[in-house]
Amino acid sequence: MDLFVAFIESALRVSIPLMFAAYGGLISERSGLANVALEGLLLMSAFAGAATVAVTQNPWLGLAAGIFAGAVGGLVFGVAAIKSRADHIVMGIAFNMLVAGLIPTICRAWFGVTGGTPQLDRSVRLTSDASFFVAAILLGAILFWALRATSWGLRLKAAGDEPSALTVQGVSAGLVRIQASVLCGAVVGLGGVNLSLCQGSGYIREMAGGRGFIALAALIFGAWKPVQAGLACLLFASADALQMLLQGKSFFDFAMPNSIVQIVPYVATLLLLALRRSTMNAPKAINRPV
Amino acid sequence: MSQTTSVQFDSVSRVFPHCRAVDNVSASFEGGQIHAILGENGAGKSTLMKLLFGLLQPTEGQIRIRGEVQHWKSAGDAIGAGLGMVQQHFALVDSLSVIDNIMLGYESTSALGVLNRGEAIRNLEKNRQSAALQLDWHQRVEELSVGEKQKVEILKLIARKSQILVLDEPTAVLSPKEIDGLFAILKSLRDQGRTVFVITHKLGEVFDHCDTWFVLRAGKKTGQGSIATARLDDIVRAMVGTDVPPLDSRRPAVTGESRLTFSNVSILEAAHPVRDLSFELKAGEVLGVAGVDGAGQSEIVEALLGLRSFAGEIEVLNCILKSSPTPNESAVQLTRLRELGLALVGEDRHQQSLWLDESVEINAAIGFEEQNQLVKAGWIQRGAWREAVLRWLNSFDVRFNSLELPVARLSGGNQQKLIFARELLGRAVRLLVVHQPTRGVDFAAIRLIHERIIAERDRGTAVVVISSELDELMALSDRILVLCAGRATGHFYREPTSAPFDREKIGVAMTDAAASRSTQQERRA
Repeated sequence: MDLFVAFIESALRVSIPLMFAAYGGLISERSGLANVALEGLLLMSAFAGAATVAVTQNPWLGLAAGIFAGAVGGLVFGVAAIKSRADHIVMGIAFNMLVAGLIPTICRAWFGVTGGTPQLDRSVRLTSDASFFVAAILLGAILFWALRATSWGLRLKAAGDEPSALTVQGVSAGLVRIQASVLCGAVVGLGGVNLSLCQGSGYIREMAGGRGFIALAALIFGAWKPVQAGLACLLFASADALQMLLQGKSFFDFAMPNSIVQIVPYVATLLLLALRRSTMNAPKAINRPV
Repeated sequence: MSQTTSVQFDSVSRVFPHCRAVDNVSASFEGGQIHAILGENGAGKSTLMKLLFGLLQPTEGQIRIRGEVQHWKSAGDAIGAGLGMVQQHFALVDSLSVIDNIMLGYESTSALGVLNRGEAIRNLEKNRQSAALQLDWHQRVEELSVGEKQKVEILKLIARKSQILVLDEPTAVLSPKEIDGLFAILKSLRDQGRTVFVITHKLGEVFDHCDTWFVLRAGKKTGQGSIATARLDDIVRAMVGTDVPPLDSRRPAVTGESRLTFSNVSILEAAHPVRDLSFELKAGEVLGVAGVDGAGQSEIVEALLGLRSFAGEIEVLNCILKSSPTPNESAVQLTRLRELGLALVGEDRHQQSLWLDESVEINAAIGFEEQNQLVKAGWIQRGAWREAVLRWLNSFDVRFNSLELPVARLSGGNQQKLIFARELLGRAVRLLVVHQPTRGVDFAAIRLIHERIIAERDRGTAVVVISSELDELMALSDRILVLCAGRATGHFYREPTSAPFDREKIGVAMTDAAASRSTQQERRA
């Protein structure tokens, strides 16, 4: 029983950054901006949050800095992808590479090491997993409602499915997408902050560990819909929690190497995506220039 | 009816890097009328309307609306000034509901940006015209027919209180009944004092429904007048520059062996299923297939090319087709049919018939390079290729500046003529399948294409022509098969009189009533 409670607890915890990243991705992709930059956005905001706290010793400033860094990252990615009329995927990869190179460089300049920020004391971290979780659930509910009921949601969906319908009304679909990308960055920023200031104690190199991509997989598996994407995040998080639970355990006197156990969530992601024909619900004009 | 000048063009020109799309056009249009804007493809009609709508800016001259010079920079400004445009390709979001599409861009919202759909619907229902259009406001647009989608576009204009409406080829995709319905709406809008511009190719509907005509040729205004006093000859001459001779009187069909047979064919796994279709096509005759878009035409073409699964039996050029081919079998089968003399002019030339970024030279022979011995042992015979292509293109009067030019740069008419040249010349054709022979093609090219189709028939080719243009089918066909919702609802034979087909009866067979009647008969049987 204890084992089960531990499993649920860790699954919920793991799902938090996944949900923020998936919801951010949802905003961006529903506007037609294909987003593989989620990983880079997570890393950027995780680092910005931790670095700010390391300097100011104020967790709330760290939270704000993480969200702000995400939004700036979203702006850079959005403007680059939309204004250049380039392939969004290629732009996203470029963005991730930029972030992967930039963070160690800044780290070295500020803290003298490339590996990450100094360890942060518990007293200057945001320790309430539950608050983050509730915020993620609330965000999902708000998205669900806003996509249906608001003019923002209407224009977002139009930009993603048929941008010309906006253009002929004198509304710039490109601007709608860039705004969506900024909002996406801010939302992903919450996930990044959760990684470095709540689940971790500071930023360590590559701490997102592919969560940005798993979130993207959850978004696709969840058919670009808030509720389904949220559930998909929980599913993938469970696979990860299972992996943590199995680490160091032996089966019938056979000690399973940890590296094998650790691939469980990735294999699960692959399998689930392969089993579901999930590109059918994709926004129609995704990754098409406007 | 108000007689004030609503729109005036003062020496307007629009210059693009390679051409003067609109060349020194001066014209005024009165308010409260339906104006037909005519001209061949590439004559500058759409450019002129984009200038009016503010999507393009004139290089020289100015445009005045109700006397005021317009200087807006985007569609938003134009809408604000009371203009509205329905593009040829609808600008609708399929995944959204009717009311959401109407509201998009001009949402009425309460606090927090919450959409006020109820209020928008009430406003539409208050208005007599929009209430008369009878749509389910909450239905998703992708579930609507083409005619209904067009109504949504018009509702958008009514909701924005547009006073000047521009419709770009609004009837290209409609059935005769839907066309009458559309013009009834436009007339009621006109009678309220609105000004309507209709860009069109079809002279029939201009005479039936419009108040004035205006013709552009190569960017220049070549004629304008009132329909009440217009003569067809004058308008045609303004459009093409010379008098067009009528299609040569045709000799009766001399039919030979069977070239294409459908026996109780059903194609069920399809967007537009086809049920229990039988017909036979012999050498030396033209079979016209009539029907509104989406009555199963594309499915029939794909099935006879061996690209679809079907029940029943299809025999093409004495080959019995496999009823559920694997992709590989399909390819082998189609190659065989091509060798036996199957020629195909597809429905959508950009998607199906052309390699848009590749040169005119390549496009004019590709697919038949082996058959025509333009490739030997894997080596392209450049000289022979070029020589053959030039001969074919000249024989079909395809106009191009250079063989090296990407085929995408040719006009629609020249692209279509190039496809006909490639499919028909250089080899023995025994079965010609043509889907939408002249969609988006100019007047002179239509004439040439029609002549060549008849010439093919006269030399013994079996021809299937599928078109949503009834006039075209009546001019070309020896027999007309009418489809409605995937069923054959009529079969008409050419009478040796001045009116070889009964337009009315064919029109009725094309509509839903006929389909439901035949379904009922089937149930009774």
